[in-house]
Amino acid sequence: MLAITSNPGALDLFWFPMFICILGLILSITRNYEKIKTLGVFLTIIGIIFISISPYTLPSSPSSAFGQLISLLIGPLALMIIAIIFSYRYELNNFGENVKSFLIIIAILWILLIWIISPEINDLPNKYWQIWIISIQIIFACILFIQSYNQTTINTKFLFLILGVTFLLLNEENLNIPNSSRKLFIEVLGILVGTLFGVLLGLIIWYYTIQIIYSFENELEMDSELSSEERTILFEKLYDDLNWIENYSDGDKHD
Amino acid sequence: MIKAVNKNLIFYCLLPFIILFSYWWINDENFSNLLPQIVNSMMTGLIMTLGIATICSWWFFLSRSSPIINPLILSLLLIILTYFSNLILTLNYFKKIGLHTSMAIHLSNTLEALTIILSLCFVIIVGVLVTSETKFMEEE
Repeated sequence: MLAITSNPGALDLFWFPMFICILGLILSITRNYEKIKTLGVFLTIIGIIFISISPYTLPSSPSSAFGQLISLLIGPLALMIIAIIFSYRYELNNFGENVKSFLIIIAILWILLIWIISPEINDLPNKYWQIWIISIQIIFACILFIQSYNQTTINTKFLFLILGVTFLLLNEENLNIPNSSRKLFIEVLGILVGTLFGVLLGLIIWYYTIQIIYSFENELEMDSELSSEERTILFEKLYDDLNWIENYSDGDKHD
Repeated sequence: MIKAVNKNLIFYCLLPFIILFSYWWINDENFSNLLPQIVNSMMTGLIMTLGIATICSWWFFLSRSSPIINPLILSLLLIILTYFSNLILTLNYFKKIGLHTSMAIHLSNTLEALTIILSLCFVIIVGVLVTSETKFMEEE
Protein backbone atom coordinates (compact mmCIF):
# COMPACT_ATOMS: atom_id res chain seq x y z
CA MET A 1 0.00 0.00 0.00
CA LEU A 2 2.90 2.31 0.85
CA ALA A 3 4.37 1.59 -2.57
CA ILE A 4 1.10 2.49 -4.27
CA THR A 5 0.75 5.82 -2.45
CA SER A 6 4.38 6.88 -3.08
CA ASN A 7 6.01 7.22 -6.54
CA PRO A 8 4.98 4.33 -8.78
CA GLY A 9 7.61 1.61 -8.99
CA ALA A 10 7.99 -1.98 -10.17
CA LEU A 11 5.31 -3.16 -7.74
CA ASP A 12 2.62 -0.85 -9.15
CA LEU A 13 3.63 -0.81 -12.82
CA PHE A 14 4.76 -4.41 -13.29
CA TRP A 15 3.87 -6.89 -10.52
CA PHE A 16 0.36 -5.57 -9.86
CA PRO A 17 -0.55 -5.68 -13.62
CA MET A 18 1.00 -9.18 -13.69
CA PHE A 19 -1.33 -10.24 -10.86
CA ILE A 20 -4.29 -8.60 -12.66
CA CYS A 21 -3.35 -10.43 -15.88
CA ILE A 22 -3.15 -13.85 -14.17
CA LEU A 23 -6.41 -13.20 -12.27
CA GLY A 24 -8.10 -12.22 -15.54
CA LEU A 25 -6.82 -15.37 -17.25
CA ILE A 26 -8.12 -17.56 -14.40
CA LEU A 27 -11.53 -15.82 -14.49
CA SER A 28 -11.87 -16.07 -18.27
CA ILE A 29 -10.88 -19.75 -18.36
CA THR A 30 -12.64 -21.14 -15.28
CA ARG A 31 -15.89 -19.15 -14.99
CA ASN A 32 -19.02 -20.00 -16.98
CA TYR A 33 -20.91 -16.77 -16.36
CA GLU A 34 -20.55 -14.64 -19.52
CA LYS A 35 -20.15 -11.27 -17.76
CA ILE A 36 -17.35 -12.59 -15.51
CA LYS A 37 -15.64 -14.13 -18.57
CA THR A 38 -15.74 -10.76 -20.32
CA LEU A 39 -14.38 -9.09 -17.18
CA GLY A 40 -11.57 -11.68 -17.13
CA VAL A 41 -10.63 -10.96 -20.76
CA PHE A 42 -10.75 -7.21 -20.03
CA LEU A 43 -8.46 -7.59 -16.99
CA THR A 44 -6.04 -9.77 -19.00
CA ILE A 45 -5.81 -7.17 -21.78
CA ILE A 46 -5.24 -4.34 -19.28
CA GLY A 47 -2.56 -6.39 -17.50
CA ILE A 48 -0.80 -7.25 -20.77
CA ILE A 49 -0.84 -3.60 -21.89
CA PHE A 50 0.73 -2.45 -18.61
CA ILE A 51 3.36 -5.23 -18.68
CA SER A 52 4.26 -4.61 -22.32
CA ILE A 53 4.78 -0.86 -21.80
CA SER A 54 6.99 -1.47 -18.73
CA PRO A 55 10.22 -0.86 -20.76
CA TYR A 56 8.99 2.76 -21.10
CA THR A 57 7.42 3.17 -17.65
CA LEU A 58 10.24 1.36 -15.79
CA PRO A 59 13.32 1.72 -18.00
CA SER A 60 15.85 0.88 -15.28
CA SER A 61 14.00 -2.07 -13.71
CA PRO A 62 15.31 -5.58 -14.53
CA SER A 63 11.73 -6.89 -14.79
CA SER A 64 10.99 -4.58 -17.75
CA ALA A 65 13.01 -7.01 -19.92
CA PHE A 66 10.10 -9.42 -19.45
CA GLY A 67 7.71 -6.64 -20.51
CA GLN A 68 9.77 -6.17 -23.67
CA LEU A 69 9.50 -9.92 -24.36
CA ILE A 70 5.69 -9.72 -24.04
CA SER A 71 5.52 -6.71 -26.38
CA LEU A 72 7.72 -8.54 -28.91
CA LEU A 73 5.56 -11.67 -28.83
CA ILE A 74 2.11 -10.04 -28.92
CA GLY A 75 2.21 -9.60 -32.72
CA PRO A 76 3.26 -13.12 -33.81
CA LEU A 77 1.06 -14.79 -31.18
CA ALA A 78 -1.96 -12.70 -32.22
CA LEU A 79 -1.38 -13.66 -35.87
CA MET A 80 -1.18 -17.35 -34.93
CA ILE A 81 -4.36 -17.17 -32.83
CA ILE A 82 -6.17 -15.45 -35.73
CA ALA A 83 -4.85 -18.25 -37.99
CA ILE A 84 -6.34 -20.86 -35.62
CA ILE A 85 -9.69 -19.02 -35.59
CA PHE A 86 -9.61 -18.92 -39.42
CA SER A 87 -8.83 -22.62 -39.66
CA TYR A 88 -11.83 -23.51 -37.49
CA ARG A 89 -14.24 -20.99 -39.04
CA TYR A 90 -13.40 -21.78 -42.67
CA GLU A 91 -12.63 -25.44 -42.14
CA LEU A 92 -13.14 -26.72 -45.67
CA ASN A 93 -12.65 -23.45 -47.52
CA ASN A 94 -9.56 -22.69 -49.62
CA PHE A 95 -9.79 -18.96 -48.84
CA GLY A 96 -9.52 -19.69 -45.11
CA GLU A 97 -6.56 -22.00 -45.67
CA ASN A 98 -4.75 -19.41 -47.79
CA VAL A 99 -5.29 -16.68 -45.19
CA LYS A 100 -4.15 -19.07 -42.47
CA SER A 101 -0.94 -19.97 -44.34
CA PHE A 102 -0.24 -16.28 -45.00
CA LEU A 103 -0.68 -15.39 -41.31
CA ILE A 104 1.57 -18.27 -40.19
CA ILE A 105 4.32 -17.24 -42.63
CA ILE A 106 4.15 -13.61 -41.44
CA ALA A 107 4.27 -14.74 -37.79
CA ILE A 108 7.31 -16.99 -38.39
CA LEU A 109 9.10 -14.26 -40.37
CA TRP A 110 8.34 -11.80 -37.55
CA ILE A 111 9.94 -14.14 -34.97
CA LEU A 112 12.92 -14.78 -37.25
CA LEU A 113 13.41 -11.04 -37.66
CA ILE A 114 13.40 -10.52 -33.88
CA TRP A 115 15.87 -13.41 -33.54
CA ILE A 116 18.25 -11.83 -36.08
CA ILE A 117 17.97 -8.34 -34.57
CA SER A 118 18.42 -9.74 -31.00
CA PRO A 119 16.47 -7.23 -28.85
CA GLU A 120 18.36 -5.24 -26.25
CA ILE A 121 17.30 -3.43 -23.11
CA ASN A 122 19.55 -1.02 -21.17
CA ASP A 123 22.33 -1.76 -23.72
CA LEU A 124 22.29 -5.47 -22.82
CA PRO A 125 20.73 -8.39 -24.71
CA ASN A 126 17.25 -9.16 -23.41
CA LYS A 127 17.75 -12.15 -21.10
CA TYR A 128 14.11 -13.31 -21.23
CA TRP A 129 14.01 -13.23 -25.02
CA GLN A 130 17.14 -15.42 -25.08
CA ILE A 131 15.56 -17.83 -22.57
CA TRP A 132 12.34 -17.94 -24.63
CA ILE A 133 13.97 -18.59 -28.01
CA ILE A 134 16.38 -21.23 -26.67
CA SER A 135 13.64 -23.05 -24.75
CA ILE A 136 11.56 -23.07 -27.97
CA GLN A 137 14.54 -24.65 -29.76
CA ILE A 138 14.96 -27.29 -27.04
CA ILE A 139 11.23 -28.15 -26.94
CA PHE A 140 11.01 -28.40 -30.75
CA ALA A 141 14.15 -30.56 -30.80
CA CYS A 142 12.58 -32.92 -28.22
CA ILE A 143 9.30 -33.09 -30.21
CA LEU A 144 11.26 -33.89 -33.37
CA PHE A 145 13.21 -36.63 -31.56
CA ILE A 146 9.92 -38.17 -30.37
CA GLN A 147 8.55 -37.96 -33.94
CA SER A 148 11.74 -39.57 -35.22
CA TYR A 149 11.43 -42.40 -32.68
CA ASN A 150 7.82 -43.09 -33.72
CA GLN A 151 8.52 -43.23 -37.48
CA THR A 152 8.69 -46.61 -39.17
CA THR A 153 10.66 -45.73 -42.31
CA ILE A 154 14.38 -45.06 -41.98
CA ASN A 155 14.36 -41.96 -44.22
CA THR A 156 11.71 -40.06 -42.23
CA LYS A 157 13.27 -41.21 -38.95
CA PHE A 158 16.63 -39.81 -40.10
CA LEU A 159 15.04 -36.59 -41.40
CA PHE A 160 13.31 -35.81 -38.09
CA LEU A 161 16.51 -36.64 -36.18
CA ILE A 162 18.59 -34.31 -38.37
CA LEU A 163 16.01 -31.53 -37.96
CA GLY A 164 16.07 -31.93 -34.18
CA VAL A 165 19.87 -31.93 -34.06
CA THR A 166 19.87 -28.78 -36.25
CA PHE A 167 17.76 -26.99 -33.63
CA LEU A 168 20.30 -27.93 -30.96
CA LEU A 169 23.27 -26.94 -33.12
CA LEU A 170 21.89 -23.40 -33.48
CA ASN A 171 23.60 -22.80 -30.12
CA GLU A 172 27.02 -24.15 -31.11
CA GLU A 173 29.50 -21.28 -31.01
CA ASN A 174 32.02 -22.98 -33.36
CA LEU A 175 29.49 -22.81 -36.23
CA ASN A 176 29.56 -18.98 -36.06
CA ILE A 177 25.78 -18.70 -35.88
CA PRO A 178 24.75 -15.22 -34.63
CA ASN A 179 23.66 -15.03 -30.97
CA SER A 180 24.71 -18.62 -30.28
CA SER A 181 26.00 -19.32 -26.78
CA ARG A 182 26.81 -22.64 -25.13
CA LYS A 183 26.65 -21.12 -21.64
CA LEU A 184 23.17 -19.74 -22.24
CA PHE A 185 21.99 -23.05 -23.69
CA ILE A 186 23.16 -24.90 -20.55
CA GLU A 187 21.47 -22.27 -18.34
CA VAL A 188 18.16 -22.44 -20.24
CA LEU A 189 18.19 -26.25 -20.19
CA GLY A 190 18.62 -25.98 -16.41
CA ILE A 191 15.67 -23.56 -16.15
CA LEU A 192 13.48 -25.74 -18.39
CA VAL A 193 14.25 -29.00 -16.59
CA GLY A 194 14.03 -27.40 -13.15
CA THR A 195 10.72 -25.63 -13.84
CA LEU A 196 9.06 -28.72 -15.36
CA PHE A 197 10.36 -30.93 -12.54
CA GLY A 198 9.22 -28.41 -9.90
CA VAL A 199 5.72 -28.09 -11.40
CA LEU A 200 5.42 -31.90 -11.66
CA LEU A 201 6.62 -32.34 -8.07
CA GLY A 202 4.13 -29.68 -6.92
CA LEU A 203 1.26 -31.48 -8.68
CA ILE A 204 2.30 -34.82 -7.11
CA ILE A 205 2.51 -33.25 -3.62
CA TRP A 206 -0.92 -31.62 -4.15
CA TYR A 207 -2.46 -34.93 -5.30
CA TYR A 208 -0.97 -37.01 -2.47
CA THR A 209 -1.80 -34.39 0.20
CA ILE A 210 -5.47 -34.47 -0.83
CA GLN A 211 -5.38 -38.30 -0.95
CA ILE A 212 -3.84 -38.51 2.56
CA ILE A 213 -6.37 -36.01 3.98
CA TYR A 214 -9.29 -37.98 2.54
CA SER A 215 -7.86 -41.28 3.81
CA PHE A 216 -8.30 -40.02 7.41
CA GLU A 217 -12.06 -39.65 6.94
CA ASN A 218 -14.25 -42.46 8.31
CA GLU A 219 -15.09 -44.88 5.57
CA LEU A 220 -18.61 -46.27 5.20
CA GLU A 221 -18.87 -49.83 6.42
CA MET A 222 -19.92 -52.36 3.85
CA ASP A 223 -23.10 -54.36 4.36
CA SER A 224 -21.13 -57.63 4.51
CA GLU A 225 -18.98 -56.28 7.35
CA LEU A 226 -21.99 -55.59 9.62
CA SER A 227 -22.84 -57.93 12.51
CA SER A 228 -26.35 -59.47 12.73
CA GLU A 229 -27.40 -56.94 15.42
CA GLU A 230 -26.14 -54.00 13.35
CA ARG A 231 -27.93 -55.39 10.32
CA THR A 232 -31.23 -55.64 12.27
CA ILE A 233 -30.88 -52.01 13.41
CA LEU A 234 -30.12 -50.93 9.83
CA PHE A 235 -33.16 -52.74 8.41
CA GLU A 236 -35.43 -51.27 11.14
CA LYS A 237 -34.19 -47.76 10.26
CA LEU A 238 -34.66 -48.39 6.55
CA TYR A 239 -38.17 -49.76 7.21
CA ASP A 240 -39.03 -46.65 9.27
CA ASP A 241 -37.71 -44.41 6.47
CA LEU A 242 -39.80 -46.28 3.88
CA ASN A 243 -42.90 -45.94 6.08
CA TRP A 244 -42.24 -42.23 6.49
CA ILE A 245 -41.84 -41.74 2.72
CA GLU A 246 -45.04 -43.73 2.05
CA ASN A 247 -47.07 -41.71 4.60
CA TYR A 248 -45.60 -38.46 3.26
CA SER A 249 -46.64 -39.37 -0.33
CA ASP A 250 -50.13 -40.33 0.85
CA GLY A 251 -50.41 -37.01 2.70
CA ASP A 252 -49.37 -35.22 -0.50
CA LYS A 253 -52.08 -37.02 -2.47
CA HIS A 254 -54.77 -36.17 0.12
CA ASP A 255 -53.68 -32.51 0.00
CA MET B 1 2.78 -44.46 -14.23
CA ILE B 2 6.59 -44.47 -14.13
CA LYS B 3 6.65 -48.07 -15.40
CA ALA B 4 4.59 -47.05 -18.43
CA VAL B 5 7.23 -44.54 -19.59
CA ASN B 6 9.17 -45.88 -22.53
CA LYS B 7 12.82 -46.07 -21.45
CA ASN B 8 14.06 -46.46 -25.03
CA LEU B 9 12.26 -43.28 -26.05
CA ILE B 10 13.80 -41.33 -23.14
CA PHE B 11 17.26 -42.63 -24.04
CA TYR B 12 16.65 -41.81 -27.73
CA CYS B 13 15.67 -38.21 -26.86
CA LEU B 14 18.50 -37.74 -24.36
CA LEU B 15 21.25 -39.19 -26.57
CA PRO B 16 21.76 -36.06 -28.77
CA PHE B 17 21.95 -33.90 -25.63
CA ILE B 18 24.46 -36.31 -24.04
CA ILE B 19 26.63 -36.31 -27.19
CA LEU B 20 26.50 -32.50 -27.46
CA PHE B 21 27.29 -32.00 -23.77
CA SER B 22 30.10 -34.57 -23.89
CA TYR B 23 31.64 -32.70 -26.82
CA TRP B 24 31.35 -29.39 -24.95
CA TRP B 25 32.74 -30.98 -21.78
CA ILE B 26 35.81 -32.22 -23.70
CA ASN B 27 36.21 -28.66 -25.00
CA ASP B 28 36.35 -27.37 -21.38
CA GLU B 29 32.86 -25.85 -21.27
CA ASN B 30 31.81 -24.86 -17.76
CA PHE B 31 28.82 -26.84 -16.39
CA SER B 32 29.06 -25.57 -12.82
CA ASN B 33 25.93 -23.39 -13.18
CA LEU B 34 23.67 -26.22 -14.31
CA LEU B 35 22.86 -27.78 -10.91
CA PRO B 36 22.25 -24.46 -9.06
CA GLN B 37 20.01 -23.35 -11.94
CA ILE B 38 17.99 -26.58 -11.82
CA VAL B 39 17.56 -26.28 -8.03
CA ASN B 40 16.57 -22.58 -8.30
CA SER B 41 13.97 -23.23 -10.99
CA MET B 42 12.68 -26.38 -9.29
CA MET B 43 12.10 -24.57 -6.00
CA THR B 44 10.24 -21.73 -7.72
CA GLY B 45 8.19 -24.13 -9.87
CA LEU B 46 7.26 -26.09 -6.75
CA ILE B 47 6.25 -22.98 -4.79
CA MET B 48 4.28 -21.58 -7.76
CA THR B 49 2.32 -24.83 -8.19
CA LEU B 50 1.64 -25.23 -4.49
CA GLY B 51 0.68 -21.54 -4.28
CA ILE B 52 -1.91 -22.02 -7.02
CA ALA B 53 -3.08 -25.25 -5.32
CA THR B 54 -3.49 -23.42 -2.00
CA ILE B 55 -5.46 -20.56 -3.60
CA CYS B 56 -7.68 -23.12 -5.37
CA SER B 57 -8.32 -25.07 -2.16
CA TRP B 58 -9.22 -21.86 -0.27
CA TRP B 59 -11.56 -21.03 -3.16
CA PHE B 60 -13.17 -24.48 -2.92
CA PHE B 61 -13.53 -24.08 0.84
CA LEU B 62 -15.17 -20.65 0.54
CA SER B 63 -17.43 -21.32 -2.44
CA ARG B 64 -18.03 -25.10 -2.57
CA SER B 65 -18.08 -26.01 1.17
CA SER B 66 -15.07 -28.30 0.90
CA PRO B 67 -13.43 -29.21 4.28
CA ILE B 68 -11.17 -26.50 5.76
CA ILE B 69 -8.45 -29.05 6.52
CA ASN B 70 -7.33 -29.08 2.82
CA PRO B 71 -6.44 -25.37 2.51
CA LEU B 72 -4.97 -25.34 6.03
CA ILE B 73 -2.58 -28.23 5.35
CA LEU B 74 -1.63 -26.88 1.92
CA SER B 75 -0.99 -23.40 3.39
CA LEU B 76 1.17 -24.92 6.14
CA LEU B 77 3.09 -26.95 3.55
CA LEU B 78 3.59 -23.85 1.41
CA ILE B 79 4.91 -21.81 4.36
CA ILE B 80 7.36 -24.58 5.34
CA LEU B 81 8.55 -25.03 1.74
CA THR B 82 8.97 -21.27 1.24
CA TYR B 83 10.99 -21.05 4.47
CA PHE B 84 13.31 -23.93 3.49
CA SER B 85 13.67 -22.72 -0.10
CA ASN B 86 14.68 -19.28 1.26
CA LEU B 87 17.38 -20.99 3.32
CA ILE B 88 18.60 -23.09 0.38
CA LEU B 89 18.54 -20.38 -2.28
CA THR B 90 20.52 -17.92 -0.15
CA LEU B 91 23.40 -20.40 0.19
CA ASN B 92 26.45 -19.21 -1.74
CA TYR B 93 26.46 -22.27 -4.02
CA PHE B 94 22.87 -21.69 -5.23
CA LYS B 95 22.78 -17.89 -5.05
CA LYS B 96 22.44 -16.07 -8.38
CA ILE B 97 24.99 -13.44 -9.35
CA GLY B 98 23.80 -9.92 -8.47
CA LEU B 99 20.83 -11.08 -6.39
CA HIS B 100 21.18 -10.97 -2.63
CA THR B 101 17.76 -11.36 -0.99
CA SER B 102 15.61 -14.48 -1.30
CA MET B 103 12.69 -12.31 -2.48
CA ALA B 104 14.74 -10.97 -5.43
CA ILE B 105 15.86 -14.54 -6.27
CA HIS B 106 12.27 -15.81 -6.20
CA LEU B 107 11.01 -12.94 -8.38
CA SER B 108 13.78 -13.46 -10.92
CA ASN B 109 13.10 -17.23 -10.95
CA THR B 110 9.35 -16.59 -11.33
CA LEU B 111 9.93 -14.46 -14.44
CA GLU B 112 12.16 -17.17 -15.89
CA ALA B 113 9.52 -19.80 -15.14
CA LEU B 114 6.84 -17.60 -16.76
CA THR B 115 9.08 -17.28 -19.85
CA ILE B 116 9.29 -21.08 -20.02
CA ILE B 117 5.49 -21.32 -19.66
CA LEU B 118 5.16 -18.75 -22.50
CA SER B 119 7.36 -20.91 -24.73
CA LEU B 120 5.24 -23.97 -23.88
CA CYS B 121 2.09 -21.98 -24.79
CA PHE B 122 3.71 -21.04 -28.10
CA VAL B 123 4.50 -24.69 -28.82
CA ILE B 124 0.89 -25.63 -27.98
CA ILE B 125 -0.41 -22.95 -30.40
CA VAL B 126 1.88 -24.28 -33.14
CA GLY B 127 0.69 -27.81 -32.27
CA VAL B 128 -2.97 -26.74 -32.65
CA LEU B 129 -2.12 -25.16 -36.04
CA VAL B 130 -0.32 -28.29 -37.24
CA THR B 131 -3.12 -30.64 -36.13
CA SER B 132 -5.80 -28.47 -37.77
CA GLU B 133 -3.72 -28.53 -40.99
CA THR B 134 -3.50 -32.34 -40.84
CA LYS B 135 -7.26 -32.59 -40.22
CA PHE B 136 -7.95 -30.39 -43.28
CA MET B 137 -5.68 -32.52 -45.50
CA GLU B 138 -7.33 -35.75 -44.26
CA GLU B 139 -10.83 -34.38 -44.95
CA GLU B 140 -9.81 -33.32 -48.48
